[in-house]
Amino acid sequence: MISVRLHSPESSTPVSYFRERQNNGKKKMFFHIVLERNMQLHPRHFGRNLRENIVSKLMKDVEGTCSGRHGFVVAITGIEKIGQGLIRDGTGFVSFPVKYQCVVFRPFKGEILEAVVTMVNKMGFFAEAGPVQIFVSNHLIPDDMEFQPGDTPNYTTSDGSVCFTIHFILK
Amino acid sequence: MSGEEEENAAELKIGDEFLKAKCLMNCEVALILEHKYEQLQQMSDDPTNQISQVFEKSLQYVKRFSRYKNPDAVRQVREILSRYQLAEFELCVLGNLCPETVEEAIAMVPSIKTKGRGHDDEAIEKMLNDLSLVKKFE
Repeated sequence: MISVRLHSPESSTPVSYFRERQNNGKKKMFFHIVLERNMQLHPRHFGRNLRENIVSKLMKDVEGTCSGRHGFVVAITGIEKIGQGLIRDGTGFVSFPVKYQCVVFRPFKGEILEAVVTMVNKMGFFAEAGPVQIFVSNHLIPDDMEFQPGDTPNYTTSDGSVCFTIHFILK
Repeated sequence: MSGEEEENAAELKIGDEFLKAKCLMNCEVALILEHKYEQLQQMSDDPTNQISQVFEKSLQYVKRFSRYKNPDAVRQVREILSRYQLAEFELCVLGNLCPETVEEAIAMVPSIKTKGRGHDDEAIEKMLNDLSLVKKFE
């Protein structure tokens, strides 16, 4: 079951939050994990600031990226270890194995999370949870919920029964 | 990739890597990101230090959905939940969603009810009570 009555936040009415109640719903979760990466560094960055250069390049390269295995890398929180550099044949670039701690956002099948509904239309609705966009098609919305067009499009049950958890947060 | 097909948070199948990893509640992430955001702003005269969209969106999200705002409360919540032999992952789901009833808690984290874990309804109810107390006295 999915909670009903979704208001669009663009309107001045209460912004609604919903909890996805389906077991196969999408959810994400933050983790603090240690990852490893080989950083290729141009020789011009060598010198006193080598460490800082590696770290700032790592942040630029990694923060904001997304991979299927680890999810979104939100922020690097610390460097555990920078290993011995290895000079690459032919290029002069040096690759350093870097171990770093970071906060990642990784959704799992079957997880439950909260999301902000951003758009509702007759095809279904869009929601956002952090960097992740969620679309719930109207085929997956229970049949007894009807799309109500108007200023604040929403999905409502015919009898307006309150068997769903709806989270309203007034802003 | 075959391992990924088997993942299912309801049964706590989330891959070894993530089971062992430290899982963070939204309120903890909010503390970390806000701290980092301040740091970044101090260095903002350097144009190479642009804040990524993922970072910004995540910060917005966790701020909106943090149940506990002050760091002491956050610490307390983790302490309370860690008394109940929960997996990191389960702990965070409960801390994030703050279920109010036992039924709700089991619906959200079906894995707490699997046999052999020693969580009867009473234990779960006690846990939820403790949580709501933290919220009340925050």
